[in-house]
Amino acid sequence: MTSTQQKIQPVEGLAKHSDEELAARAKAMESILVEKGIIGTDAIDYMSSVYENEVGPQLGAQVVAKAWTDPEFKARLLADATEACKELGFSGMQGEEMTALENTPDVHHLVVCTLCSCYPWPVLGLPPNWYKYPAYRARAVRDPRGVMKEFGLDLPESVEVRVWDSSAELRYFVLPMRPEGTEGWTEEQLAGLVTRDSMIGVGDVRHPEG
Amino acid sequence: MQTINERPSPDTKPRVDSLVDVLPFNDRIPRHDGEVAFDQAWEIRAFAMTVALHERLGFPWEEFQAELIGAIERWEAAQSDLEQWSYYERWLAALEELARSKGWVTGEELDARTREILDQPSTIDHHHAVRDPVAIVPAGQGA
Repeated sequence: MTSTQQKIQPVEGLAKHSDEELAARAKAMESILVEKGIIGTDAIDYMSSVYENEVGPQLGAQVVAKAWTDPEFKARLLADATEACKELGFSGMQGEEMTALENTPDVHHLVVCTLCSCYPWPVLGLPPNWYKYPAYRARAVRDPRGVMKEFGLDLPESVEVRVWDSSAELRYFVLPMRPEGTEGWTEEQLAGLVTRDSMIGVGDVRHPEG
Repeated sequence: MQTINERPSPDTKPRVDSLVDVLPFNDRIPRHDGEVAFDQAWEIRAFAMTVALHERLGFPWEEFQAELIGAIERWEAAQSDLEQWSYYERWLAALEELARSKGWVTGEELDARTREILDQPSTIDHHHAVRDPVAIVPAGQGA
């Protein structure tokens, strides 16, 4: 096949493009449109939130459910989350390290990226829009309990709250507590209870009905 | 004042669904449990950008529809294996054509900016691992 153009071919070129290139082109388009005032980031964020729960393979729920049912996996997950996630066949981790933080009856963890929107991608998929808002990034550190209340999570006063700063090198996610009344449940059933917000630490898992 | 946990208003999703419904090769749109789904962050940004541009600037959705048909046809004309195309790659190609024809961006601007982004180390913003909590609210100090 011959090409009439030799320069870097945009997407229109017929070679297969890497996701890195495509991501850069999409980002370039967005940044130019926003810079020129043609569209606002808020408008794009709003539209992306319509389907945001459908992004990514929802792997985090599987990781949590497996940790709830398999104590040895849980131990490996807490020791080295990057390696433990690889066991489940998750790829796409570009060298960055992941750490799982275990919630207990006494300690609750909350994850934020104070500078930008570093997020454990391979496990949690696309970050929700609010994750990068200054309001979340600042208030999660100053007033974590207040932020959690806005998400409907009202923890007892006896619980200590720890806030962790995700960075490009080290990304955190939360291992929530297994809800009561789920004895004998399969991993698949349990995975259905795990919410994205519970793995960021702003929300609770779903509880079995009844 | 920005609310942190803002959700789209209930009428938005049906409106966006109906835009998706009229797109070409509808059966090729990746779905998860029947809902439009994405494998990569850039895919949802390209999707959301296009819908937001349509809603804010008011250009007819048919214009994007036509660009997407064109982008898919151009791919098919040049390939022997017709099954190998990616929906959102064609989507991005169509969006670029639309943006060029509307005069929102030039191909040169887009190439230059893409190059800049690719040249940036991905960890430029926030590099170092932070291994201790950045805040602790001890037990008994609940607000």
